[in-house]
Amino acid sequence: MLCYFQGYHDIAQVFLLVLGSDLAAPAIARLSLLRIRDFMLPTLSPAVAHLYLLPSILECADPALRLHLAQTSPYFALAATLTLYAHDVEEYGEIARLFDFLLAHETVVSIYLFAIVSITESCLEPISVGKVH
Amino acid sequence: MQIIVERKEELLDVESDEPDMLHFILSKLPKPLHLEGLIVKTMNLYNQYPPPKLPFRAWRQISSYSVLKTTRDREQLSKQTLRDGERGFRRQALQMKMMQTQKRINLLLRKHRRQVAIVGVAVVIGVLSWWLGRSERISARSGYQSMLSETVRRIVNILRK
Repeated sequence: MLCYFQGYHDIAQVFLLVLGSDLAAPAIARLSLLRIRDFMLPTLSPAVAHLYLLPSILECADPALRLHLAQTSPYFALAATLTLYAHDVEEYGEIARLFDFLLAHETVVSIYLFAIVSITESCLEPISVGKVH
Repeated sequence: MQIIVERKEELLDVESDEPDMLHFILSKLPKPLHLEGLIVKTMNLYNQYPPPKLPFRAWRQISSYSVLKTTRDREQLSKQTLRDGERGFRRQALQMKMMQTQKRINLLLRKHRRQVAIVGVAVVIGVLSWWLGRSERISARSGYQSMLSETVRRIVNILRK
């Protein structure tokens, strides 16, 4: 019945690491049917519907940025939201904390988080001359 | 020394008509993540603008079977069973199928709108004629019916042009 999507294993991996195989199985079953069901339907359109909330949330967070991104469709958020950020966050402590946060709140909070990530600070390390050559 | 760049500035530096570049920047999460700060800002935004209050009537577009709506109430969610999830899955799948069928019908109607208009008008006038024919109060029945037939012929000719 449920359809596998690319990235499902990223989510399952986190559950296995945190809960172990005995507890992970029933937890993943509940997650699949009750929290990420939209991503496991026969087509991608219910999952994409999550992304189309982003412009409205960005309008609330930063209207100027929303306008700047008006010609960009929100598919840039697909990998992160589909995998509850497990595809992008590699550090175990960070992804476990993130899962605690996301699963303690309703599903839509994940999209709010992405909107905040879109407008937040990033740090770039200076490129040394040695590395360039 | 680290260079701190506002992500927003990074995005605004790219022209808005370069969606591929914007997509590339937006699809990468910042490193390090500063997760606690992000969580606080997320909850502030969520509390200030909860889903039903989002602009552009965005929340109304979401299906009532979507997990975006079925996970709103934490207590209610904790009581949902796997069977509820399966039922939700079936309903959503059916809703999607109906929407796809509706889209295909709309496309077909748009493609053949002239023919659909002709048939529609003919049906309406046919029903009117039948109703007039059955009504005992109209004495000059045959007069009205021949007038309607002539009207139908004229409308069909106009639509065919």
